[in-house]
Amino acid sequence: MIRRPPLHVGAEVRYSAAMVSRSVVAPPFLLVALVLMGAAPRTDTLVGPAQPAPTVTAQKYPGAAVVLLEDVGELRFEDDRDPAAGHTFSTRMRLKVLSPSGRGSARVSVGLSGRTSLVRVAARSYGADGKVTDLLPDSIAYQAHLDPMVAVYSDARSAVFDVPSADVGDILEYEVSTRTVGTPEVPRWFFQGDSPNLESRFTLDMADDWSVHHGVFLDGVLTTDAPSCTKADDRQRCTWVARDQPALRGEDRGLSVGGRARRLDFSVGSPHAPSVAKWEDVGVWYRGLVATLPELSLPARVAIEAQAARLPGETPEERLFHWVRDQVRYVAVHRNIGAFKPHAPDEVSARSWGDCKDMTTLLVALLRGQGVAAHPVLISAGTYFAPESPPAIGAFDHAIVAVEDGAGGWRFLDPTDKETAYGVVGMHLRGRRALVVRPSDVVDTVVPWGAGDDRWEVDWTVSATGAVQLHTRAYGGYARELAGWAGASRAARERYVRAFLSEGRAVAVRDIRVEQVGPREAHLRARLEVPAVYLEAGGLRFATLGAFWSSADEFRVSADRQTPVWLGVPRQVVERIVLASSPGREPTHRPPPVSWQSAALAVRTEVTDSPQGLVLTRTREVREPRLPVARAEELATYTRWVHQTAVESVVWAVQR
Amino acid sequence: MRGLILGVTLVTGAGCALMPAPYDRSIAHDPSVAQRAVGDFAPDAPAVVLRAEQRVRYVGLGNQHVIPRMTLVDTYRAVRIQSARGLDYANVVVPFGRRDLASLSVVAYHPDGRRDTLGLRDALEVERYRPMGKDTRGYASTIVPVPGATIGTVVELSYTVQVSSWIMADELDPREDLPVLSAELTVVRPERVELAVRWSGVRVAPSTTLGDYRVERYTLERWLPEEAPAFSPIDVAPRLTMAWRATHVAGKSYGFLLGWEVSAGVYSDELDKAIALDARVPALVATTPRGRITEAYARVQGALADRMPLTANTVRSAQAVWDSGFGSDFERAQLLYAVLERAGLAPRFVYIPDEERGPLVDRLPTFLTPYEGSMLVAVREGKDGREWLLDTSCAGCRAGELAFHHQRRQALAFRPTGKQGPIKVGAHETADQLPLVESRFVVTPGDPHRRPQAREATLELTPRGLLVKEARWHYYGAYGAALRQHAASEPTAPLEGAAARRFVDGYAEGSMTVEVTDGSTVTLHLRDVLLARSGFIHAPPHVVVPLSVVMPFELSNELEADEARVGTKGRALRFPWPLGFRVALRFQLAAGDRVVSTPSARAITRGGASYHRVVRTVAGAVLVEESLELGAEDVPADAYAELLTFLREVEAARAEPLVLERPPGAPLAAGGPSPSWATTP
Repeated sequence: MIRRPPLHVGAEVRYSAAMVSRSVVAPPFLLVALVLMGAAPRTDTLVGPAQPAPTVTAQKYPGAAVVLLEDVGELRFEDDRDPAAGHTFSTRMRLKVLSPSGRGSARVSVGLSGRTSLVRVAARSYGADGKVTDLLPDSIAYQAHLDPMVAVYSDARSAVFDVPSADVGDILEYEVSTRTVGTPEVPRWFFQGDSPNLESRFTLDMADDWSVHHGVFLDGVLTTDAPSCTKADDRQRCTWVARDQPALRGEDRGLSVGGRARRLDFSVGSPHAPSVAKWEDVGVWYRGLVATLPELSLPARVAIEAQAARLPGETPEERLFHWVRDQVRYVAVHRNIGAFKPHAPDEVSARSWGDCKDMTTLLVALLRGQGVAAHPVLISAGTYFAPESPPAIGAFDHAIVAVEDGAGGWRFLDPTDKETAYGVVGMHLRGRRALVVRPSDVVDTVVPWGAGDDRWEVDWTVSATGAVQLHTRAYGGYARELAGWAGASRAARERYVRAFLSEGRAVAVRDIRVEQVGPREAHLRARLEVPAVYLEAGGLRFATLGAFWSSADEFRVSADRQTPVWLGVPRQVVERIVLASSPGREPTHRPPPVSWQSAALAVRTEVTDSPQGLVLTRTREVREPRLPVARAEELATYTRWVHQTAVESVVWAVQR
Repeated sequence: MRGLILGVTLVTGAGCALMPAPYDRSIAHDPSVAQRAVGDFAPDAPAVVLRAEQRVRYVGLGNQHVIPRMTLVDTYRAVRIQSARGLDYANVVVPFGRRDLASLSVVAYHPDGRRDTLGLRDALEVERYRPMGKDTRGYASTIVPVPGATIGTVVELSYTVQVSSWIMADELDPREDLPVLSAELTVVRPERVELAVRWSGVRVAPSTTLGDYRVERYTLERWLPEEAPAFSPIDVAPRLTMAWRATHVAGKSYGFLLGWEVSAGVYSDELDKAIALDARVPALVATTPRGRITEAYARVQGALADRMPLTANTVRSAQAVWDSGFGSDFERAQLLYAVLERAGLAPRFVYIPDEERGPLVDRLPTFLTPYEGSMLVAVREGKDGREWLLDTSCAGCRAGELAFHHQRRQALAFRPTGKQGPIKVGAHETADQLPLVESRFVVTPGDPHRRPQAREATLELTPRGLLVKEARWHYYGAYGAALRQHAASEPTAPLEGAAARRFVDGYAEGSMTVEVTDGSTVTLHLRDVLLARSGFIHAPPHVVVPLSVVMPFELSNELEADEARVGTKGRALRFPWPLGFRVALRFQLAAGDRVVSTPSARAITRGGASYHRVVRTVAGAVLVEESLELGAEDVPADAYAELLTFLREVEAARAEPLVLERPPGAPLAAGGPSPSWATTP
């Protein structure tokens, strides 16, 4: 399916214990509604196969299901002063189907919302035999992006249609126009990269006194691609072009094909109205939305403060945080501007439900009432945005609170995350870009990585008969993630335990217990029946460490990748295997110790004796979140050692 | 209309009068009383259903004498929130649109004595439409986020729904994930409509009659989801006479099968235009019936992309499917039916429900959409000729081949009777004017040869894992359908990425190509494919390779997880895997390798299953041949434990390793692709 740039709809992250590290909304149900449209007038600008592309063949493009002949987009603002007054976004695609599976490209999905409506659709197929087939007038369906069981109620939806009669050898062509009003938000332009793309171009049409801020990214890295711009009749047109792009193949760590493809991010600035010329402007725009809300009323404030006074907490601020966190549950109503604009604090407190920006607005009002310098923060929980990215409203999908700590720093509070403690934010927010929206200015900052105590310890105790006890301890930010599993179903907890095994085959998991030991420590215990922990053959007994020592996080990076590798939150994982001792039997082989480290990564193993038996310890560390591609050798070496240590074994002579 | 209103009033009143109501709803009105009522029942659950009451009244005989003129549902439910996680249950979700709701009342009783009352005006409507046409809007949900909910809050919901259709079982109570302290279901139905109700752990009161209506009452106490994960606490659905109905929607006629509610648009007015298909369907010009059948199937399967229609529940007409160039398996079946009929043959539809919904004849009938099962086409060459089953859902199958999961399945074979060509009906036709379908239950055949897969591989140890130097993995019949489909769809593309990983264990790198070696055999050809997970054990001077690394079983693991489900259902377990396989592995030895130990010859036989292994050592290599046969696809519940034991024994046997001793300092392997992982990202 071809997906046109999905227009951002303020997708929100909903938190639960089970989602902490995944931090994206579950895929919605596809809800389909048929819309019977009136007959489309023949006003399209479909160009047809002026050249039927005879040279575009399966032989020339082996393995390609389709070849994109022309992929054109144009965005035109309707008002020469105000970008938020509306814009029309038109796209035209022309492609050739080369294999049966390429017929899937005939399905086109267009992202819509309450602010974005479908203006016009035209589609046509040109058969190799000269037959021309037009889109039938009632061929557009709408798919609602709603899951009533997940408390996000939005007007996000897709218009979906099929270019008719797509067959191998046919040329398919379609045009889509949408109109967006109410925000200065603009879509990205993707130079589609999952198929060979002969020409992709995007044109921006706006008043000649506006500024454009742009960046073309390839493989996630900013390129030097520049547009060609012309000015005439008080307007300017800038066009970006990419020609003869080969298809990207396969997935790479942290980047899908779509993420690696060439992409244009841009925003525009108008001297006459609020717009997004720089990152801080996003915060200014948000502050403007919040400024229209009525302030928290005195009765509501007094009532909340009275209730909060009975809650745990060392300070009034902490108690107010607990009140909002615990009394306001997550329900998001994202309709029209509701994806961006919060509800009034009184409204949120009265009904005790709201989304992240509702909770943030309420908490900021309560804290400011205490004389605390608290501010809303826009943050991206789902996507990493490089510092060089052009500003975009859609970059942020979450809101939290920042409190000035008096030393020039911030204390971040996330009342949406129901399992977070005061002053702590979830792992998914660490290292993320954040805009602190103060009354006087907007501060572009980054959420700190944390206290440096983010650590897992995974202990396996293996008896002489092969019975296995798992005791894993999570510290720092991971403690909260682990503790969240206490309330999960037995099946879910079992799946979670299995994930600690690098090979889960035929393993029975029993007696799972999860307990929170302290605010930054949680434990999980389980009993496992793992067959073939010991292999016996040829008078030898082998203990296979690989069953426990994970090799799953080995990093694989494709050879053509040019972008830095995202390693994730800096962390330490300590894996320990205790093999019960057998009297009178000393191992004939112990894995040799390993100690390797670089600036970003480290692996250490050691073998020691203890009263309980032989103790094998492996420590893996990720010290930097990103690894430049120029340092990929470090990654390869790390991978080698992780892999090598996972296939090691302890060997005893079998005495019969 | 007066009669209808009278009937509704009569039945509603009578139904209520017949229902004893021992439960005191006021328990919900005081959170502390509610807490005591719950006591030690499900203390860890996020929320508990204190009470669920539902009264379903099917009123009057409508179309075909099987469609109720009206269905009335009264629902009462009180849910107590027990933890922060349970706050999600304070978002009341009613699985009907606001316009279907005759009334809605939500009252929240908070622990601090507050009370919030909400109604329809507070509700959000969320579209969950499954459109059936221009005027039938399908289903919507009405959502009321309850204000002020906290731990200990009791949310009491009452609503009345009035619709002119059946109510689907899963619409009656979507809260199947919560423990239920007490529940009651009352059904009032016309005598002539047979209704089946199954309620896990249910107690059934003797039914009573009232005129033409029957009143049935079911109760449930202290029900836990874990006890019966397969069932909703309330599982009710109508059992209908098999009937045929057509509906006129937006200028097109759509047919619907009732009973199993296969809403397959079998016929439409447009089918008469099937002449347009002639030019492109070789089936119509083939000279023999067999030729017509195989050509029609190949053409339909080959010419159409496998894609669902955008109109969710509607199966488009054959002509529309052909014109669009794509179709779901239901639509392709419909097109194939049309083509075969045009070619002078007499096809039938064969409907196979989703396997997870259980055997067809045992289970409760329920409403199904076209996409909750598979639709095949059966056609006989001549009066006494071979009957072909044509599996439109099986991409890559040849005519007569059934996808593995469609073999030996209970199915419903049917064809519309009474007339040739389209059924022309208007919007207000009566049921009696419509022809019935001819239908019967059948069991689809299985692969008569039950040929196993065979794999032959030459393996070598490299630092990163096992290198498959050369392997040919043969798939016979329908087993190879996915590969055959790949070869047909992407003739110039090697198998890679996710598609490749379906056929090898875990992460792999290298060349995998597909060869269709003859009509029934598909070969996956692997060259220099590295199985880059652990693959072996390194304990110098020893190298240890368990056979399970080469081709792992995870059967017992899956069965383990399935155990509770199978036991609860008391149903036969059905294997989703091939019936057996045969593997020939050749472990290539490096210079200086000494074989310390090899797996022993094994023969494990239990019940109808067997595992055999032969091991030979030859110059420069160790040869291992394994075979596994499962005697039955359907394992009765009482044979389940024995099967599990068999699989565990096999897994234990496959853990026996091949142990080599390598000279000190010798590399793990000679040859193979260079270990570029050490230097290149």
